[in-house]
Amino acid sequence: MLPPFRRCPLEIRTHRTRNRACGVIGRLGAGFRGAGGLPPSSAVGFPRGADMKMGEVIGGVIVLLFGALTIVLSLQLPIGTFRMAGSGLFPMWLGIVLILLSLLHLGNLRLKGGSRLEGEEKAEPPSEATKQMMLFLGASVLATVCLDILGFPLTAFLLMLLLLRILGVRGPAMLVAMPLLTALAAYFLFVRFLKIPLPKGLIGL
Amino acid sequence: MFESLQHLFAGFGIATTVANLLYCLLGAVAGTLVGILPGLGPIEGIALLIPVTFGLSPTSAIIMLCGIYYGAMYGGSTTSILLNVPGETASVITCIDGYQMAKKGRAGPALAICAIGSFIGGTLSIFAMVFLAPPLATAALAFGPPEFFSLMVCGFIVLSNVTGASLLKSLMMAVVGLIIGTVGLDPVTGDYRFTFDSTYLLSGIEFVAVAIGLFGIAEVLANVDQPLDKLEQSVIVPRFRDLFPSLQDLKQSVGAILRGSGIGFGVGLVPGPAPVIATYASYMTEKKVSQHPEEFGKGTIEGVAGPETANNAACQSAFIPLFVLGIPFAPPTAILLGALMIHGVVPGPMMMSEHPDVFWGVIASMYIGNFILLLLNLPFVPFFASILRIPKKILLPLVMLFCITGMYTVNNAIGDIWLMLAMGALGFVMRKRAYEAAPLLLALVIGPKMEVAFRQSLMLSHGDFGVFVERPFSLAFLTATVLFLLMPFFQFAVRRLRGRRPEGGMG
Repeated sequence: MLPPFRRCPLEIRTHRTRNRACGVIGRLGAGFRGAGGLPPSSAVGFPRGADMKMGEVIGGVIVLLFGALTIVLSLQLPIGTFRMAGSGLFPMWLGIVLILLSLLHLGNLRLKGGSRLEGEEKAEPPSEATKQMMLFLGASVLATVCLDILGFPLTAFLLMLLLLRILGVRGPAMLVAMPLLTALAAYFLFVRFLKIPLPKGLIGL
Repeated sequence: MFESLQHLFAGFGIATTVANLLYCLLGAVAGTLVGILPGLGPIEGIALLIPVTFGLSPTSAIIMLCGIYYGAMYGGSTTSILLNVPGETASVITCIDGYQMAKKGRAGPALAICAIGSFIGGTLSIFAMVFLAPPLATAALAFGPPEFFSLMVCGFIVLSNVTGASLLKSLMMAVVGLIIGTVGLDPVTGDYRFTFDSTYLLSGIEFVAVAIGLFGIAEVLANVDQPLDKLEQSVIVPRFRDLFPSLQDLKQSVGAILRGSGIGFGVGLVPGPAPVIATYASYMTEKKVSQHPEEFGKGTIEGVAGPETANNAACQSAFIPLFVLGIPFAPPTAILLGALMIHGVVPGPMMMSEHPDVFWGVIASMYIGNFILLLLNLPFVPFFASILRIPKKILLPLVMLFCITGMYTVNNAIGDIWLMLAMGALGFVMRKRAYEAAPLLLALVIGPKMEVAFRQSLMLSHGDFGVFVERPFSLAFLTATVLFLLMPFFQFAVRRLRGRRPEGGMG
């Protein structure tokens, strides 16, 4: 009877080749991190990289596409020679290096599998918190849109009001007093004290 | 040596003007506050407050920004000790014994020894810097473009290797930063690159927007992205009378403080997140030399004194590569490089001769700043700690508003705010996926310099890449880079060998 062995992220038919492949995979997978090879747990339950953490792969692909885009755009610039480099040469090489690194990263993910990726989130953030974060960012985006129209003091007041509300501040006194004080303090600090012009908007302050 | 002292005295003349003393004090206080607030560290602090320095002279501006830097390093220990939450990454080690001391009711002596150790470490480091910087600057004058290029490559690799995340991911981020750094005017030919006919992009990507976005906004978003009840924490504020360490505490700490100063100074000179490495190295050293290593982790004062001293010593000596070579080896100094350039000061071997007022004025102000911080941190620790009582639901909107306002004031451009928010969202996603932002920022700042060095080297050698290995210093830097890259493989091989040994024995 053949001895049991670790499951390996590649589809390998025979026990001999399978064991050999696992050794190589362990070495490559750990190569850049110095993680000491794949722990047995990393291979268990991972047949062929199929359940590889999707976010990691998407991240790698985005970086790869960014590298490709850089090369395409660089080729539209003068490349020159190594002796007299044009403005496109350096970014083009950077694009090539980025593609190579992202390919290595993706290959590493493929070999390592999905169970022990660095920085992997064990638990997804609660949807309510994510919604809160999106609202927070959305309010900041809205304030940026309104800055030139409403001017700094009013925008600052409204932004603070919105952000405090999003973070669960309920008391009407706090909701009005805090934004008012902050907007006035920021206005006096930047405009009056530091003499830095801020958007005046329709109010003209 | 005497010449250095002479210059230093002249620097004290500049640093002790009423205005500069005030800016030093402001920087130290702001830095301490930033360091105390969990999540915000020196990078965010400097990036956020750069706009405030626009109306100031270069010397005053840099004095204030440096004050923020080392102030944040001082302040970072407060939350580590009181809350077990490091104010910034270099204070992680302080949590181990600092928080245990606080739990035993000895938060006061822990905080006091932090302040004393930080003062001694910082001051000794500056003292060494005064004498080391001039000869190093002279030596750096012999560096040509190939040496600078190789040194920058070495810096990237080392930083990427020690930031804690995957080396591959860190390197990818560094290359992305280099690519973003090529947007705008080509520094050699003057061509426009990747501007897409946008006037906003003509002057390149605004690094302050990237810095505030990747660090400040991303931190705020990461905090908001958690349930409301998790936002708040309780804090015990020590009383003033409990602050003073006993004679026994001081005796126990002397050795740790002196060793921490040496370790911190040495580590600060090499590329990487020096204060983080220095604190770790110091903690390990203290544990090794201690007669009671079993006490470490249970609230021993040496475990606080050594790392905190090393932390500040490293942060001061990290100014040497910045001022002397013009190359920042860590993100906070990268932001300071950007700030120096905004104020028209180009750091490098010529800085001492071209801007002696800035160089020596800033160094002299560091002595003063360290003294101010000692005075601030000893009696006012209860006050600073009470800042932690500000609810995050108020603090986070304030930080966001300050980011937006501060960003606008850099160039009076709404485009900068858009860029900052976009970078904030990117930084948040990067955190979620464990991509390091520090290599990206560092690459963005020194990318243009690196490109110029690369192209000049090839021009000098008529397109021959051998120029990078023919020159001894360049070869040394590249060899160090290759060794660093191969280190994980060596470690893996050693572990494999160690792992096999018992098997062989049994077989």
